[in-house]
Amino acid sequence: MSRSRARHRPRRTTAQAAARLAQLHLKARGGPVFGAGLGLATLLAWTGGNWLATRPYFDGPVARIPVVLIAPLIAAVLLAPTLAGADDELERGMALPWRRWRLGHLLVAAAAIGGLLALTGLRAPEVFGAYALLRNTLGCVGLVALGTVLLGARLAWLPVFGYVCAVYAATPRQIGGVAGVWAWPAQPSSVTTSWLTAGTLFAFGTLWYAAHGAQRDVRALSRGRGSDRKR
Amino acid sequence: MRRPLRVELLRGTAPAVALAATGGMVWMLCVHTDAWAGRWAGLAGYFRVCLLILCAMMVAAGAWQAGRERRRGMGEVLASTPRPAWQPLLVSWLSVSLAGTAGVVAALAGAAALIGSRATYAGRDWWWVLLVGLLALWTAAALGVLVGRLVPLRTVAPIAGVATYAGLGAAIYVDSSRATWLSPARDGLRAELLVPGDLHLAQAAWLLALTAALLALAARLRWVAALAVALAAAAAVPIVAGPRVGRLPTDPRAIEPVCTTAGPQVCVARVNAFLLDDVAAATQPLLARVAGIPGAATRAADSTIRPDGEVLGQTETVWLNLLQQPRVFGGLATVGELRDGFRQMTDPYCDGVQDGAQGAYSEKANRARKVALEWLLDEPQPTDRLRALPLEQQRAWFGEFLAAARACDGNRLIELGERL
Repeated sequence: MSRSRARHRPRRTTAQAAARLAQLHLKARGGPVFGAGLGLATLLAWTGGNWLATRPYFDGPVARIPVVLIAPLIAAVLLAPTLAGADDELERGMALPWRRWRLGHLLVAAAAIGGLLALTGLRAPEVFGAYALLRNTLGCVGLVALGTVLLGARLAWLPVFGYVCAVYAATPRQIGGVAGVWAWPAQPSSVTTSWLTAGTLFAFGTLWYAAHGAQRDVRALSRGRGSDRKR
Repeated sequence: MRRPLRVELLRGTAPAVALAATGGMVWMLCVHTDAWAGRWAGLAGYFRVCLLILCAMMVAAGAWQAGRERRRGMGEVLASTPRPAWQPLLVSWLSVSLAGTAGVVAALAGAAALIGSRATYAGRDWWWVLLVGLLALWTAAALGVLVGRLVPLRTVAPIAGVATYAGLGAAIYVDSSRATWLSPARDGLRAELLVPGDLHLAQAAWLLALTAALLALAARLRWVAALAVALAAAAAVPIVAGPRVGRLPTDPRAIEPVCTTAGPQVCVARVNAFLLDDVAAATQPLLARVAGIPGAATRAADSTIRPDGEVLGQTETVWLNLLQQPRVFGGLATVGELRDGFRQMTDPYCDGVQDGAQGAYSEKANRARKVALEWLLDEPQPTDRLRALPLEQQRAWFGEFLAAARACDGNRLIELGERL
């Protein structure tokens, strides 16, 4: 009995340590703020979607297109600051498999965003509902990940914010074809090319972010160097 | 004040804001050229739609600018200067507002140059729509500055931008209420419509007072803020509590008909007169095709000049929807859609063409309608037997079809379809 206890103790300790580490990681990356923001975005998506779909002067669930674009955008923007720590140098110095941590971080966040937002569009999910919300979550998270790698977490929101706003402003009338590629966020969920584009963005962004992490803040680095020189 | 402002304009967020505003405005102009091409009032009205994006952008820019002191850790340095705290805030807001406005005006100037070469009607009072819209950019920047000061989040700029977009969008969606005129963004301000002058004044006063209130709140000037909030509330009262705006009045000169002088008559509203040659080229052959057939339309006209209460397809005029037709460099956007407007001549405007037996819309009767429409639009089908007949018989058949369609006589339509 005592021998088996001794055998299990280290494994339990490792799991506890990993859980503790994950807890610290989430806290350091602003997980609670992201969680609260995501909850609020979900609530707004649900309320807004239902309101639009039930107006007698609109075309039912089709009217939910603003929600399908804006809700994943807000969630992705909220995700951006969690993709880098307060001190990148310090983090990279830790003996942790950071690629796996980054991959896990992004996948869990995407699953949380997609899962929660999809719940808000379960009524007629094929008409600018749950399916389109899932697709746009993939695309927006992918764009934020790409933005993080290229511009750093501070400005990671810029590409996705600019792109989704531009597509929404354009309100392309064409369905499928070339519009399925460039205007994927505003396409019906039945358009295969829109899924392919969003999926590609997600895969590319996730893998690149997992491999390289966030772009370092050049200004912070130069400030650091300046203070070193003074010392 | 001038030197700090110059420094802010050259080295702060301002250049990026100006670039983003120009880019955003150019993009909006490019994606919906039909909304403004050839019409001054169209450009002003469309600018108010663009405010959905531009105000969101200005709020984001203001929030980004206001968060700069926090991001750079400059709070103590600024507090140690002898200038009052509201002055740097005012300068940073002014730099963002000026840059954003300059960027938008640059893009609008480009559009104005393109309109100037084609416009056929100068319009009236549209500059008020434009000026009040520009004022809204300053208010949006002030809102951004306040939010950026109050919320210490890294993502406050984009979130505030998206929230502004959603808020203004919601006001457009529920535009039945007079209170929605508190929002500067507005859809449906077509080129021939006039916004009442007192509403422009009330909107301008409301936006100015709101800007002052937001800036005073951001600068934590309590008494000034209280006064400005009271002013903003007072300015909002005439907008919210005034008589219901309902349908906007039409500029009588803008909807005066301008017609062709040769061939079958084609008329457009004066505001769309720059399209007359193109519309005539697309529609006169169709009118000539049915000329002399009893019951057929004898003229085509812009639906902008359609009198209230006139039912489509029941007069001698084919009403054409030109809203999505203008192009910046001339020509029509979709000639096919314009020709498709002639469908109203063959569409039976009754509850349903009854064939007597089922009392429902008859597929057999619809066959005759399809053949008639294809003949009218001169789009021959491979199995078209109507065209196999001599021309006079084709015209006679079409005349009989029109008579039956006007009378909603389903049995006669079936008979006409079976005759081919």
